[in-house]
Amino acid sequence: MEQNKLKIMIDAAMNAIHVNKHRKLALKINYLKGLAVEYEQQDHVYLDNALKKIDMYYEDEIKTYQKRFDGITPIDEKKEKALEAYDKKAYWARRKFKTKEAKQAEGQVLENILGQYDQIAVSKRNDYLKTLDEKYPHHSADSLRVYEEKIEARQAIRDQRKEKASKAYQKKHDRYLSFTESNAKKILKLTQQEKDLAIKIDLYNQNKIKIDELIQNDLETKLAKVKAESVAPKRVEQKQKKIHALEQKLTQVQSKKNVLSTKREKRIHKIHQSIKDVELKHNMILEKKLTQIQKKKEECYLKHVNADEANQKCINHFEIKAKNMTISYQKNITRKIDQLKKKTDNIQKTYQRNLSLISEKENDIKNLIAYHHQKVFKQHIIDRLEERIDLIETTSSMLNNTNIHLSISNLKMYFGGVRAVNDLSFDVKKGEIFGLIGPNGAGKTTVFNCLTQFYKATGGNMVFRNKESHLVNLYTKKTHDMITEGIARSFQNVELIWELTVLDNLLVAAHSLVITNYVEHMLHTRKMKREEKVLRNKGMQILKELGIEEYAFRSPYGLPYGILKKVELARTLMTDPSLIILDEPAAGLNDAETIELARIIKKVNKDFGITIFLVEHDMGLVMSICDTVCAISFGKMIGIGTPKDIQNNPEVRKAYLGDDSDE
Amino acid sequence: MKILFNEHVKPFLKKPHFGFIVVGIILVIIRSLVNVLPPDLYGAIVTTTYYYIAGLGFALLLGYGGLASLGTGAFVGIGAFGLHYIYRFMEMPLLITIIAVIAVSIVISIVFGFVSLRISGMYLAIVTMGLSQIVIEIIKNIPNYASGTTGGFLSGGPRRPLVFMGMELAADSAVIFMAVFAVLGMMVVYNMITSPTGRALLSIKNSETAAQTMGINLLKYRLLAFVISGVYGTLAGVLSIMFVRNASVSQIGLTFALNILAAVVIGGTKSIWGILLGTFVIFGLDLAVFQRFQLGNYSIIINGILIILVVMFYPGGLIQLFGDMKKYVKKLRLKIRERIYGTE
Repeated sequence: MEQNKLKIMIDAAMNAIHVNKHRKLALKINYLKGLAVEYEQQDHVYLDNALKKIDMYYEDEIKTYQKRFDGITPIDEKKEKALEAYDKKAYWARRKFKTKEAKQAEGQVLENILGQYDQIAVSKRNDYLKTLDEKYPHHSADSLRVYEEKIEARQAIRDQRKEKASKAYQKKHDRYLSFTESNAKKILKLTQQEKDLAIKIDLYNQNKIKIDELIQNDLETKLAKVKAESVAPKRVEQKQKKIHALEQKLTQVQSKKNVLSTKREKRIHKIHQSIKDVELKHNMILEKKLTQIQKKKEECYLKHVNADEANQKCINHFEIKAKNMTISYQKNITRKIDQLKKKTDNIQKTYQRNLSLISEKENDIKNLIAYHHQKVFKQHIIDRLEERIDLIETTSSMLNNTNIHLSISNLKMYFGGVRAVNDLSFDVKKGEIFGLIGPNGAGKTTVFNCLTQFYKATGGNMVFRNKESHLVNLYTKKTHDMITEGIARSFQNVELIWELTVLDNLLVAAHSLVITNYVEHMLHTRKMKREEKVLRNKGMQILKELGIEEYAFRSPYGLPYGILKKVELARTLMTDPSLIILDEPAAGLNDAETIELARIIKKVNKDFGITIFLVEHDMGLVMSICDTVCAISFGKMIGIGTPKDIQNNPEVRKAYLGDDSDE
Repeated sequence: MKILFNEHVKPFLKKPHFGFIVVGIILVIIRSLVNVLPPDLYGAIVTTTYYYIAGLGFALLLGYGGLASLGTGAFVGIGAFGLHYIYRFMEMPLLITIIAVIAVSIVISIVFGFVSLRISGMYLAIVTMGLSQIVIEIIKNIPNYASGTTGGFLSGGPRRPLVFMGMELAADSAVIFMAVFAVLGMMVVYNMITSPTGRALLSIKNSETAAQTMGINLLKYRLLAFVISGVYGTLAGVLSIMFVRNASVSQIGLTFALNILAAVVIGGTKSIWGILLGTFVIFGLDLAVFQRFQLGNYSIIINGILIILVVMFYPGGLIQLFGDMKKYVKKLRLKIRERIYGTE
């Protein structure tokens, strides 16, 4: 098993490397393909541009000679210039005159005045022309031949240059052809590598099904074991409550124990005192009686002073009496003390018995608490194991069914005590439009944020099939890795960069496609420039697809909201995603714009083959474009199916319109 | 000839890189005119140049990364005192010294960045200020090597003249270094801001969430901007000690960091030429105009007023003023014409 584990780990690492390589290869292939397109375009226009440039350079020179050849001398040109200056002056003078007259006259009168002014102006201009004719008389050139030759020479040079340019172009074209050839070869090679990697990844995936089964069995046996140990796993809180109650009981029992011991001490103390009392009492009575006997003895002694015998007898009698008395008293005392001692023994015995009982109880409670504690701990283990099994199950189901694109199972998101999303699970199929609906505060945006890892989910699994058909657990990824896996999202309120143009905004989004690093950016290397061109072309193409290419070089600032939404969509498309998450795309749009947006979303889904996952309040939009709709309320799913199913679902109606039974 | 001009020279002249090279050439000319120019004007120009480099780096951080750091002074200090220490006491060649100082500053800025770049806004300013204070205190407390509060670069102690490639450099020769580094710095910053990296930084400044969803690693790019700004600050320090031959801890404290901030804000946080203007206003105006014509100590007041005016009316900086003025003149001409000749 240990070896197997190691092997599995190594395989997983190798697969990760393959996936990474595949991703990089895909980027490179895209870049090379873009480059090929770019170079083709350049090649197409290169010759025309070069020829146009040469034409432009020689056009000016030829023009001057052509003028001379046509019979226009430098003097004529001077005349023309003078006339132009005169005309300009006249225009401004007329404008001034007009505004001046407009203050006093209006309508027909003004037109009459202006007509007079124009007549005078025309005559003046004719006069000026006459003076100009005198000043700059026209002479026909003597030898047009010179100019003709000059023109011919220029044209010859121009043609030469054109020939040169076309030759250069030929060279360039050859280079281009060789480049395309090598490029195509490179692309072929890379695609071959990509295919190999894809096969490897596929193999790994197939193997993974078997391994996953093994692991799952292993985990399930573990789970069963743990479950058997912990008997009927209830909710952790209940257990904790029980533990709390038990602990309270324990304290009660312990207090009882204390009470008992104090009671016992009191009673024993009492008995001891009573023993002392008895002794004292008896001693006193004995003494009294002894003194009485002594008195009697003395009396008797006094009575029989002379009679020794009687005297002796009396004394003996009393002494015996006293002896007997003391003996009997002593006997009495010992009996009583024995009784008392027996009593204390009894007390001690009962105390011991009680104590043992209580401590037994205490131990029991303690054991129970420990047991419940263990159970709670086991609950965690069970949860974890169940989550792992769930993950394996979802991945294996996805591996078996390649139609599933994103699988969410038992997603939980708690904010403190608030359960924003609770045990939500659904599958998004490849190439469908999936709509998530629900009343306000149902937790739709929370689901999105969990998916894109802005929030870290409290529990549950989100498995996504990325562009390399590798299954990733999204929980292990960071927010900025989402795009490389193929998930792009838009925002509820447009989050564009206002300082950049629309096209540059798209280029920002293409950040995950950039294969040059920041050192190359600092030095503006050729590769970086080429890449920029390729990405620019791509951006323009996407803008064209969405019909907003006219805004490409404008700042997004001040554009209508519908256009901004489209720009956001274009931005998500720019990243080559396989899944687009749209957060309320129709928010703030009017009906016409919404219809247009629906059309575009459908188009994107069809043409690019991208799965779309959207949250929307606009029921019309959702019902018209979605293939599957999932309705949630307070973080729980209340219905999933085609739009029709959802429309007829009584629970959904209840969630949206309230309980019918109230009315 | 015409074709050559049209095809090769003209496009180059239109490129912004030509403007940067012109700055370098002007600096070299100024270096050769050292005996003709008045010394205070010369000093003002040179001071502006080396602080301009620090400002450029800071602009990348503030204008593009959106991070207001007050740690510029620390890096200038590392440049100046590091050069002093490594060159004078470890006796390395000058070029290696400069490279070593830059390496040190890169390491320190990476450490600073990891500590402080997880936060932004006012707290970043506070943290960087504290970090720079640490560096300054360290410099202050190695009096032997850093020469305490005044780094007598060539004055006092064992003298070691600046030697570069076998030539002894005079103080004015630092201007040539300045020309080279200024041109390089401008080019790198220009390249940076017109590349995907610059756009990534801008997007971070605009919206962190949007940047993250587009696959931009916030910490990586912020760290990059921070390191570049640190290197630029270090270069400014190196050039300053090469020219002044002296460095003082009082020059690189909080005041300096605030001055750089003011220069960048006044000039325009996103304009390479604007920062040049702003740096001149803050660091050169006093020397070049007020002290020269003995107008009194009004430059600080004027700077304060300028900051208020710029922040209130020209958030794009003073460089925005030129564009606005052009527009205004055009409008005015049209208006005057209409006043005289009437509407069409």
